[in-house]
Amino acid sequence: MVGYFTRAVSSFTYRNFFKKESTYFTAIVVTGVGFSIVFNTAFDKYWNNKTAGTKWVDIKDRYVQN
Amino acid sequence: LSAHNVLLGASVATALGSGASLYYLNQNAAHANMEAEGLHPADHPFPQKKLFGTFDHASIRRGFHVFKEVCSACHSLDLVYWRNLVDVAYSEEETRVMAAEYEYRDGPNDNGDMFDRPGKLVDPMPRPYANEEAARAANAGAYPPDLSLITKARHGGVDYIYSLLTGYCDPPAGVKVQEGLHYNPYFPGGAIAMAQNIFDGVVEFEDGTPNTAAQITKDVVTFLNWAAEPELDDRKKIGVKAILLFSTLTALALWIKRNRWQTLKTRKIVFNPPKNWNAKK
Repeated sequence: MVGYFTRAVSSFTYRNFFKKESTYFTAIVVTGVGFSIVFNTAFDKYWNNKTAGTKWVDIKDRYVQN
Repeated sequence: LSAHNVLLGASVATALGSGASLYYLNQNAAHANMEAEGLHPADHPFPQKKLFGTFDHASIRRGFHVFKEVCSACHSLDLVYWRNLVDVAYSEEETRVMAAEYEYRDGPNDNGDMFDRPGKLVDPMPRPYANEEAARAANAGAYPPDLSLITKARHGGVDYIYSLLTGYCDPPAGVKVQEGLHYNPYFPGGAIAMAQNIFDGVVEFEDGTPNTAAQITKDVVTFLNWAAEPELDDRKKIGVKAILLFSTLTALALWIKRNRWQTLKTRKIVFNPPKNWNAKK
């Protein structure tokens, strides 16, 4: 699927994002922030699932009075 | 993969392998004074020992209870403050209540006098003795070490502390232990000043966990491990993230480099000499 559109995608990306330094920089920052949010959310969900029952947040309901 | 290369590789592997093995055996040889090293502790399955394992915080909570009841009579924990327990093993209200049970010297007040006040979250764990001299005087010349970093400060770590606390036994036939000391095979030299303090039922757990000596020791060792390495949970989480990201970026970098170099590495340079190249003038 990607192989069929490689030339079109590459040309589009180059002309609209890589040619001007301002758009290049913006694209880098947006990609970085976006990746960071997605990666951290997904990983934290996995890690919290893996350590379920061992962390303070998992056991605090037995002791904290609300 | 010629026969010569295989033979060479096998020879090098044999040399290195046997060299490493013989060196290891030489360094760890059995000798007549192994009592001075202390018995090597067994490998216990503490969850935080695994490569990506983290603390069991319920165990840390029980362990602090044990420390407070049993160990704090003689051992200080100077580097741990009441606030360090908040959202790790106890809630903020619980910690405030616990801290307030102890008196701390503060001052000077407006009159210039020092005064006593109940503990606050900013205070350190209370010390059993004012200084090392007082501790030695109360313990027949032996100083009960501060336990804030003990699992990092002893060879063998959590395994050693656990084995030490559960390892008290009668000395073997012929071994005499000095009066006032106790036999413990895990302690380097075999004679430790501390008596056994953890027995079945010496502490009651609020969450109903069976209070066998092994369970009590496991929990207090987990607490001491947390005291020495409070950052362990975060460190391992960040570590896994770092490994994932850096290995991906490395693979990406290697592929991009090879992709950009392909043009150069697969080019052919051909020399077509003119027809009269070899002709003599």
